[in-house]
Amino acid sequence: MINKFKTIIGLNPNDNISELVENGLDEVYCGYYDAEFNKKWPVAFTTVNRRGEGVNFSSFNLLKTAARKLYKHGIKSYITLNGYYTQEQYPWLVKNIKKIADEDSIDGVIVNDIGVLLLLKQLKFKKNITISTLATPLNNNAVEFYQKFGATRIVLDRQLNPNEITKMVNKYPKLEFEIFVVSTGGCLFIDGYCSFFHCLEKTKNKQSGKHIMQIEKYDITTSGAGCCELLNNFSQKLYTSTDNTKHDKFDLAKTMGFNCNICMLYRLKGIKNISLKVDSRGSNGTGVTNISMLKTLLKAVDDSKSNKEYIASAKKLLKRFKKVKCNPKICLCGNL
Amino acid sequence: MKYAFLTDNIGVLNKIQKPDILYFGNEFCQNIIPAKQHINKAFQWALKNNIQFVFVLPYITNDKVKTADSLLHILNNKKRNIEIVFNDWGTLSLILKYKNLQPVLGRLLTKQRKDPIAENIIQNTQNKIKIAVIDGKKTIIKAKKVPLTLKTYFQKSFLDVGHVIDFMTENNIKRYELDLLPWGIKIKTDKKIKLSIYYPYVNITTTRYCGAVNLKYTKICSKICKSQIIEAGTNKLKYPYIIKGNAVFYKTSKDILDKTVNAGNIDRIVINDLQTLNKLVTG
Repeated sequence: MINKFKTIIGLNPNDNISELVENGLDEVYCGYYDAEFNKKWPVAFTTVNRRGEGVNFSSFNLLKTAARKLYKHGIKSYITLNGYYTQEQYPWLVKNIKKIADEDSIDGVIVNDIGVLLLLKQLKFKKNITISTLATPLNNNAVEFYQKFGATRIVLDRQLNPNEITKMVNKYPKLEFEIFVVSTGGCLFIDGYCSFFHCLEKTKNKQSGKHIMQIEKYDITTSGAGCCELLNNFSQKLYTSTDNTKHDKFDLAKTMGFNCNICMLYRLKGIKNISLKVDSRGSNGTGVTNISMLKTLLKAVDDSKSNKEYIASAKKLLKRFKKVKCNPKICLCGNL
Repeated sequence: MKYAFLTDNIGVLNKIQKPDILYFGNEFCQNIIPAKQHINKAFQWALKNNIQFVFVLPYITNDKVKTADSLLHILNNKKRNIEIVFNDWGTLSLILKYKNLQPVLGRLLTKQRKDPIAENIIQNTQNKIKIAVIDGKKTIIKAKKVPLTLKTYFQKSFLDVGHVIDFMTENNIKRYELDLLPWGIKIKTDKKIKLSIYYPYVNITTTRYCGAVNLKYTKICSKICKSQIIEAGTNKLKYPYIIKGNAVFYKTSKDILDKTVNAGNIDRIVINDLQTLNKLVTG
């Protein structure tokens, strides 16, 4: 039996929509900003959601054009409004929620700020509301808390294990859940509890002579993210420890591979209210590569007669598509 | 201004200068939620010393909901108004079941922008120019100025939006727990909601991959938090990253504290370091 997981990917402004459509995905999620917003709160500082320049659409109209193309092929679009918004940002937020509400090609929003959830209620927002992983729904009480705000779907945290996931989704069969898969450039920390600085800017070449180039950047001091700064200090051995026992040698390459969740797909295959979400925005590869990898993995799920058989296939596929090895030492699953 | 001391270690209580309030528990790890006999002891110690008792809960998964609930039940039976700091929204409903318990929004839910490497960038104080080699070409990298509105954004949170304050008060939440920021805090709550400031350790993030972040690579909890502290970026970063257990912190200064506490509705300093407590309370 072919399993019926819904597949969702992050849409980048540069993605080739025809190629995505050919790969048979069900939904996309994406974000946008505009000049008014960017002037006050540069999107590079992840002020509109957890993504920066280049990954978010630079206007609502550009996003709308992409969403309409997808809509013609029956592919739904969700908009990430999953930042935390201050009082000063509310006029922009209200205006833009109304735009989203009025656009037929957009199916819903992804949110985590309680203030935005309350605002959606005030504005009588009729479309779907997905609770972002940034809202850290880690237990059943949290699921029920978000249901009171009209949540139709919950994105589970990347650090929940298969047992925790299955128990939660089985408890609420009428509610939809999403889990992240394939994102092998994943993060070491819990998304919703992390306040590491990120400056995700797209550097623009200002002048480029024969021997010299000149560019402008917001951040010319750091690695662009606090977590990278921390990991760089580890890899350069710029750390001290109060424990004198031997530490394992830190290897940055080995830490890539958190949260890919690939090894749990066979165990989840019978569950109807789970969708698989591929975080293909930014450093995690293109949507086409990731969706094609996911489809191949799902075929392996269908073709396998046991979890063991699936794991053997998935190991090979991970090597083929991502050229990374599963590292059981640093993953809560680590079964590949 | 009241001084609180945060600890999950019953053993330190006889070594401390008496604070006004005892915060007992852990914010980050459900594996080290204190046992009920320790909670009872800490509560009795606070009672004996005429110190307010506050219980602190970490974020919890379904496996620990029953444990947390049973502890709340015990505390409710003390027949005193006890503040409970919660760090995931699911825990709020557990607390609201008990009439003697008062929910306090923990610092993992108050959503400040906290990473200190942002300091120079958002204040436009980083070097104006840097020269590097990119793609084999000598490159002059100029710093783009950030607008003042961005700094304000980093000083604020969603907490003081009008309808958010209404929601909090409707749910009996009358206190927000905040971290101290090098660039200042501009959270303006009305009189209904009071603010606590944590000092000197600011939390940046947390993980369930405790073994990885501690470079031990163990998958099962081996209580690394009790034996090891890692400091990364010493002599390189203005605020080195400090890893204790499954959380990452940095240390702020008394200067920053002094500048911050005079503003707004801050009426409590939560000290999360034994030496700092003894120095501050005696000083």
